[in-house]
Amino acid sequence: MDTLLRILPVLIPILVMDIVLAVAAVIHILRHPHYRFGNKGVWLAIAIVFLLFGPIIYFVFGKGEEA
Amino acid sequence: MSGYIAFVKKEFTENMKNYRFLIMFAVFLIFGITSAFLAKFTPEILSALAADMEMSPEPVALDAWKQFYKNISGVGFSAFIILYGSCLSGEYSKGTLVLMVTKGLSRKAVILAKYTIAAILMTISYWVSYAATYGYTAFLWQDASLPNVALAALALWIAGFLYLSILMIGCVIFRQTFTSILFTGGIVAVISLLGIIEPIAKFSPFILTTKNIDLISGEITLSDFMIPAVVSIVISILGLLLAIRLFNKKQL
Repeated sequence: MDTLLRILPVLIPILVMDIVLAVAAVIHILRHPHYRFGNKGVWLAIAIVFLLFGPIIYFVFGKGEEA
Repeated sequence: MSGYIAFVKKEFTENMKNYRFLIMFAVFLIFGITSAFLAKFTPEILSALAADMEMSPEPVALDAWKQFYKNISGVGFSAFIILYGSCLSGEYSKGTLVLMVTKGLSRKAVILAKYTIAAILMTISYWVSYAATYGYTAFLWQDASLPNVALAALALWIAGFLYLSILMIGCVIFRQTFTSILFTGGIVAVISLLGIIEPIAKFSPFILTTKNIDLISGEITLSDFMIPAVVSIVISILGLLLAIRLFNKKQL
């Protein structure tokens, strides 16, 4: 616990980054319901559950082509 | 020239709107922050989780840069190549270039504008990532001072342009995103294989991506980087010219 409290301030930028990415991904998933594969539920779960890398995976692999 | 500027603006907007820049920036920044962070705290976290675990030696500032170069040259630039692999294939499949080229936009401007924007965004992401690692390293190891830190980062940055040139050729030749990425990966693999062969290893741009940490630790000197850097820049320029030539003959 001690260690965690000490490194928490260092972690804040990463947390902010993660929240920004997750929010961007969730908004995009809800607004563009066309994916290369998978469906809305799967991508929402991935974007929210997997910290940091979930949203990145969605934008790189899951985002459908703009129509 | 005005066509070039207009296309640069279009490319910039596109990269903002399709989240390419956001993702690349995020990947690079995350690696920049976490490399120093993980180097410092991994032994501590491990020993907090398992009390009887063998303690590894006290981490030093060099470990942070080791992480940085491992992550950026591996995952960071892979992400960059994957993201920009679709920069021309999307235009081919949608046919959006045909109209502009027939209306008088020069083909050279298309490639140059795409290259410019990709290079600018890569540069911003890369140096922000570098600054994050630098800041965190300075913060976590207050008394550490390492030589040649910026120069080692410069070397990897030059190699980034080489990757981009190869990717541009791949994008021009192949219509599909996946094949262009595969082409780039193949060429990079060939370059790294050539780097193993002893007589030409000294000139291979491969050094720029693998020996950065040795430059910081002082195992090799700056002069060892000079020739590979020049070779890399020359190949990058030739690659870009080749991409333009190929694109001039390409049927859209």
